[in-house]
Amino acid sequence: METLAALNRARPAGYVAGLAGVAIVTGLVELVSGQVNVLSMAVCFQLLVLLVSGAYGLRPGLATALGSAAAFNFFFVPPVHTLTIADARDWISLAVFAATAVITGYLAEGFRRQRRESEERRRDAELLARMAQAVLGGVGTEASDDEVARVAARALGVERCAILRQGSGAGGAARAPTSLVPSAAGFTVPLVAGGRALGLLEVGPAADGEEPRWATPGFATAVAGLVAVAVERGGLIAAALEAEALRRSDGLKTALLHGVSHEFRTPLTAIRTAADALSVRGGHAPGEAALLEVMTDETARLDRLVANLLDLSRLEAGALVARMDWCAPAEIVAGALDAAAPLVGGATITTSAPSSLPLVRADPVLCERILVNLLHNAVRHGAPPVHVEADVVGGRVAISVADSGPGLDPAVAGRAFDPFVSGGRAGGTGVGLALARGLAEAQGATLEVAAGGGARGARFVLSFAPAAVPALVEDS
Amino acid sequence: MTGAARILVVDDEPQVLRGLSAALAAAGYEVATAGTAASAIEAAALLPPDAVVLDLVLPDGTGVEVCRRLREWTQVPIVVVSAVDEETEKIAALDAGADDYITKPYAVGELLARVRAAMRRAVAPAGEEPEVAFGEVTVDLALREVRRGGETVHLTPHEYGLLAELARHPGRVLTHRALLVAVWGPGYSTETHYLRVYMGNLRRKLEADPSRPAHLITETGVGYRLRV
Repeated sequence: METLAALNRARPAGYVAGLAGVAIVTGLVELVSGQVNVLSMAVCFQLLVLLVSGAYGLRPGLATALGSAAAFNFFFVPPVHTLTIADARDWISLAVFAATAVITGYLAEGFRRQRRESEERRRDAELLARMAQAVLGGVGTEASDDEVARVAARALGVERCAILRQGSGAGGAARAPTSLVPSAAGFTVPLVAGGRALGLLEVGPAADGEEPRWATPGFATAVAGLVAVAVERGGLIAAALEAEALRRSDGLKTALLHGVSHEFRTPLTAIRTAADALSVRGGHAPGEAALLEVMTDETARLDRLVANLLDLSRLEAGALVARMDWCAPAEIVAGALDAAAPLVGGATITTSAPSSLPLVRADPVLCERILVNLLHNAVRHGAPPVHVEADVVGGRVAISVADSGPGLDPAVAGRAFDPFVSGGRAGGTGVGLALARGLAEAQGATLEVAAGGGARGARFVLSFAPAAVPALVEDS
Repeated sequence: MTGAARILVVDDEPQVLRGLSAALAAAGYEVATAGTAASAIEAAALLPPDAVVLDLVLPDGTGVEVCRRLREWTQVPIVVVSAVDEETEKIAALDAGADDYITKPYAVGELLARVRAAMRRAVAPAGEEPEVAFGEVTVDLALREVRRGGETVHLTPHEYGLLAELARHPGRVLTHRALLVAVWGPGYSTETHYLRVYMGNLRRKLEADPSRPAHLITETGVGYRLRV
């Protein structure tokens, strides 16, 4: 491993220890040289080489082996105190000694490296575990990127880290180019979570007195993975909190809507009945009759709006349940035209609804209210003549309501079914379309704006899922 | 019946009661009011009305129960008033003997028309007219014959049965269940698709414009009515 060799080079301690060791061993062997065969003491030097290689690596080990061989030759191989060797057998001994020392050094270095690597892996794993704990547990649920970056910097043993989110203004051309390869100035690692790039983790230079952990790119990548998880988790938590807040406000809105419209209902009915009572009595001056008409018409309108709001809130609360039955499209259309008659003020409405159309599975009451809303809408916000057509389109029975007005503003056509969205047409705000769509969906039908309206006016299509009508027991 | 017809209005909202009383009085009726199911039955027993306008939601019971109790001893016409989402109660009230219904929000003029029609029908009880005419169609219940513009119209037995059942109660709402049981039998009480198909057939044979029927009227979600 290059980085390890580089570290070794940087330390003279191994060589110093090796030389000192050679001196000590030489001294010791010299002390006992009178009592034992000096040549057999070569093993002492080999033990020294083994120790130095094990403790400081191959190069100090080899240097020690060289020093040992020289010292052994100089002090103990005859003629002593020269580097010359008289006896050929001593040459062999010295060669074996040198070879043994070198092999010992290599073996010790391998052992040392393994130990060091496993030690590093253990420390990496420990650090990653601490990092994971810090990121996923210690860092608060609403941790800012800066907090996460600080934890990452601590784990990596660098001065600072920075999280550059994708598309954030902080990144890009304004920053100094950063390297993907670890260097003294730091480097960057991509932040990827769930296969999605979130941005970059910028890793700064090593902190003073710390061994930079990013010395292994694998470790930095692992840390970046954790950082990415933390960054994404922050986003998910924020989204979840937002959804929860929305859900609560939605529930509140529904409750408010229901309460208000319910409480509005009774006084409205009383006012309307009273105004109606005055109208029924008759005998008013022309001006009074007109005022009464305004009262009855407007209370009726308010009454309808409140009824629609009430239904919308019921729909959103899931309290409105469709009562499915077999229905004839022609009957639905005819019923809707009758029910809408007081609202459309004699506007021309043409129909095409053959009684030969297949029956549909639907809630007839809800269907009628959808069509009444569409007809009212067509006359109020579109223009007559209005055409209602029931037909089979693509295997589905569809009832369409088309007016001859200017059509929906394309800019808001996509939101035509949102409550209180102006359709770009005179007074075109309210809940009629939102309710109509909700009522359609409550019975498994769909309500869409037909494409390509343009100058031909708005066209809404109520479409039913195909259903197999049970056979009739016919009579003759 | 002497003088003005008396109408009993049953509703738990005092303001609605006041408004309705004023409207009915303005239309020339004598008005009695009740705010609960118990007081409604009591009022009807003490001073028999000529018609009852009955809200389905009452503090001490349902309008359906009031219908059932009243029908134990009187055939007084009953028009029930219901909210939009009270379809089931509406149908139950009709099956319990109510003559007609009106859905809130309604115009008082429409309610008055319903009450008048119900009282007219009460004077000429159902099933006593051998011949019922509507548009250019005549139904001879005695001869079991249907003519349109003088020509005999061929109807299948069930088509005739359905038309005859409606003709025996002209102007009155008959629920799906009531029609299915009367024409096809008790085993068919929920087979609404029979009604849809046979009503379509009848309209094709008898209505001037089958897609905008003027006589064989759909009471959406409730039943059918023969408008004469």
